Amino acid sequence: MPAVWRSLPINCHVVGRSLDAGLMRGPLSSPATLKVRDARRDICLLHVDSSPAFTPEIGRAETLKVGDTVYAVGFGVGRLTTSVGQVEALYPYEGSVVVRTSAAFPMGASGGALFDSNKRLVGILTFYRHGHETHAYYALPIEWATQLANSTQTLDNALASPFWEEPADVQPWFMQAAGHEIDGEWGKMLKVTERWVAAEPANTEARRALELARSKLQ
Amino acid sequence: MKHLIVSCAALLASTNVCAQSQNEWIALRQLAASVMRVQAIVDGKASNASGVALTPHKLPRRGQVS
Repeated sequence: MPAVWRSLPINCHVVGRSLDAGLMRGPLSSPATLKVRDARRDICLLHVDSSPAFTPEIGRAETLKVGDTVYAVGFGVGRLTTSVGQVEALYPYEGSVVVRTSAAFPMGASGGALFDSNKRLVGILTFYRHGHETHAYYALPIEWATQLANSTQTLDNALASPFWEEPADVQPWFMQAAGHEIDGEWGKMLKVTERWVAAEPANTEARRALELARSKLQ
Repeated sequence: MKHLIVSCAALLASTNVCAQSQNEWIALRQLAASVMRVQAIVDGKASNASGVALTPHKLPRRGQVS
C-alpha cells in the first residue's frame, strides 16, 4: 500500500523537533508519528494508523483560478473555525502554486484544510500576514504533501526555516511584493515587482502586482 | 429560511463564521468532519494545530483510542 494511504500533512513549524503527536476529533483520538519532514517548504507528514476524522477527496491547487470560492477549515484558538473566501492570487513556486486567499483563519489553524468549491482538499492553511492596509492568508499546495508522501528521498533540512519565515529580503519575490501590498507601501512594492518581473517575465502574478503598484502611485 | 437560521445558529456554536446560504452551510459541515486537532509537545509545551488525512481510514468506534 502506498505511503500516502497513511499520511497526514502538517506544518513543520507546529511540531518542531517532536517526533510524536496526538490527533483529536471530538471524543476520538489517535497517536501519530512524524514520518517525513521538509522544513523549508514547511510540510511534515505524520504517519497515522487510524484517523479520527473522515478523509476528503484530494484535489489540486493548480486547478484553482483567481476568484474561485474556497473554504478554510481548522482548529484555531481551541475550537473549530471555518470561513468562506476567494482565491486572491496564485503564486507559482517550486513546482506548484502557493495560494493567497481571503478565507481567514486564526493562529492554531495551521495544518488545516483549504477546500475548493467542489469540496476537494487543495491546500494546507499555513500562515497569514496582517498588514496596515489589508490581510493575506496563505495555503501551501496539497501537491507538495502528496509529492512528499510518494517520495523515497529523506530530506535533510530539519533545521531549515520555512521559506515564509526567512528575512524579508531573501523571501520569494511574491512574499516580498505581497508584504508591501498589505502594508500599502506602494513605492517599495513597485521596486520589488520591477525586479520580480525582470526575473520572471512570464509570471502573470508578477505583472499583476507591478500594475497594481503603478496604479496606486498614479 | 427558518432551516438556514437554525443551521447557522448551530454552526456558530462551533465555528466563527456563518455560511451565507444553506448549501454553503451544508458544505462547511461536511468539510469540517474531515479536519482534526493536532497536538505535539515542543520544548515541553503543548503546540496545537490542525490536520486533515490524505487518504481514507477506518473510523474507530466512538470513544476508542487507538
